[in-house]
Amino acid sequence: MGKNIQLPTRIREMSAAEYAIVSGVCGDTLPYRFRIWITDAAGVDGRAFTIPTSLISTILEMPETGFFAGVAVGYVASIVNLAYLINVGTDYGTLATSAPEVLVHETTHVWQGKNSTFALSYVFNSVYNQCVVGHAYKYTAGAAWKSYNVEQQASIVEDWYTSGHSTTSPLYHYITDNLRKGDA
Amino acid sequence: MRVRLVVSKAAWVILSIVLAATIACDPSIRVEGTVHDRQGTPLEGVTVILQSEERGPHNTVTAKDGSFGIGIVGAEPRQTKLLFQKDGYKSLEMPLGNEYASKMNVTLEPEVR
Repeated sequence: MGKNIQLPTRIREMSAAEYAIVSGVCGDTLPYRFRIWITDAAGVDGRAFTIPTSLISTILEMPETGFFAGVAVGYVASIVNLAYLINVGTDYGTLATSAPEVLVHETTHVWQGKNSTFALSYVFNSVYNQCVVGHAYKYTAGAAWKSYNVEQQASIVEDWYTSGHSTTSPLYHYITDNLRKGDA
Repeated sequence: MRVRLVVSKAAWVILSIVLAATIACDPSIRVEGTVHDRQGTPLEGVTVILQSEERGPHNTVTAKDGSFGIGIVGAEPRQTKLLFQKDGYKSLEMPLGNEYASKMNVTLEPEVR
């Protein structure tokens, strides 16, 4: 039986060290650092997940009256891409050192939100591909960037980074031709 | 007001479902451990490769005390294995089984030339 969902108890701005790592991957196509927040919330079995602030109301227990405000604020947030919450559970304090694969993977979701017209679109894409299509993370290198679903894109970026982020990697052209150009 | 309440509840349900499904996402494998030789001396500079059937390889190198940590997001442990490689030692391959989080104590045997 898996561990239950963990609500956030701590939140902080993405650290300078973490931002240096992900900026080295994504270039200048990420939101400003003060728009990326790390929390210790986690999904089932401690899994990490990333959401735009437009979904923040769903991880907070608020009375019904507050829900109207939450939806309204969230709706506006999804249009202007206000901020993102990367929820990493127990990796909260050591994300850059002990879980760089999680940092890079989840920040790619931030990149997808920032470089899409609607920040929420990657969330729906992720849910659809995991729940309906299946094997959401599996990919074969060589296809066009936009033919990959959001989890495959995040996996490509993660795999490139954690295999040594080499400029001779067969995945490198996705980094230069798509990721660093904001081609979501 | 009643209509707005119904709509708000519907929106709440939809958002909750979306989030619940999203929360179920991004499972990650994490393996930590140490590598040493037959005498128990920690081995520095061992290349540790995490190889998934569905993804590209991830790799790291053991530290001075032989410790390592490596992970991958979104891969199935049953389809993932670890490879340990160092000059002068036999390469070692270890499947992960069903575990998403593992601790390993690995012994490398010297290579016979």
